[in-house]
Amino acid sequence: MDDSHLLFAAALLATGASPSSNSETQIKVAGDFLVTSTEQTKFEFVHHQAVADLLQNHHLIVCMALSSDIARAVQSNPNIGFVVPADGTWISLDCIVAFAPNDAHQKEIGEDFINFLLLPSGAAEIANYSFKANTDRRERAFLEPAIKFDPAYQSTTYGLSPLRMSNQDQFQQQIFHQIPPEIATEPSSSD
Amino acid sequence: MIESLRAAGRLGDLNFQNIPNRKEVEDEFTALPFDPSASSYVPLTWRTVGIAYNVAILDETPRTWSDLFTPISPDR
Repeated sequence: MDDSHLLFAAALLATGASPSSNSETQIKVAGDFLVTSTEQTKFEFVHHQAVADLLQNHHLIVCMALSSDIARAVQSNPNIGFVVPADGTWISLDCIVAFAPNDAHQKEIGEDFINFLLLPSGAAEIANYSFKANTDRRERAFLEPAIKFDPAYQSTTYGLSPLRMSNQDQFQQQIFHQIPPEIATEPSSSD
Repeated sequence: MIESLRAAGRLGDLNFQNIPNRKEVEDEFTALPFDPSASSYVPLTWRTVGIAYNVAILDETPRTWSDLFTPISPDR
């Protein structure tokens, strides 16, 4: 994946540090680890949307990837696997915002539209198309079964309750989570 | 992005009376560090970052981020 911030954060985790570490020593260790790793392996940055194809044609064997991209790819290629590492991961969250009143001339219409997007059937339609998990707790009943039971999608919809947000672990706009072992290791095939 | 837009005064508060479905949003998404008041945004979709791999080639399932950096074979 072509995200140097996340790659470096993964290197921090791989060297035993927090992905939000400010320690000069830990950052140096992670940097050296990253340099050494890239020298020992065939390593490349690719756009996240190209990851699935490159896995499928064996150009890549292991890579950092977004769950939505892999959930989509798994529909046509069961040889692609996806795991949430046991030492944690990041959640990328898409939000809708309201611009300041001087910039938003029809704010009420915008709010109506946001409310429409949050209807369970509408939220599920978005998930069925984008393979992203939805924040609406009622949405799952409307999901396509192929998506609902896909391992990559399940890794995002397993239930947020065990995945507590932490201010200390905030990394840029990404949120880092400690993943409980039962979720990190074997995605369940049940809902 | 939300944090920087708020700091620049470019975001307004949403009127949640016009967005009744917001009450169905998972609680974990409604008081995020970049806007503890949760007044200027509605979280809609999300995804995780993980390790993808070719099941047909890789003998062992990756478990930690260290596995991302482990050479598969002398030439890969």
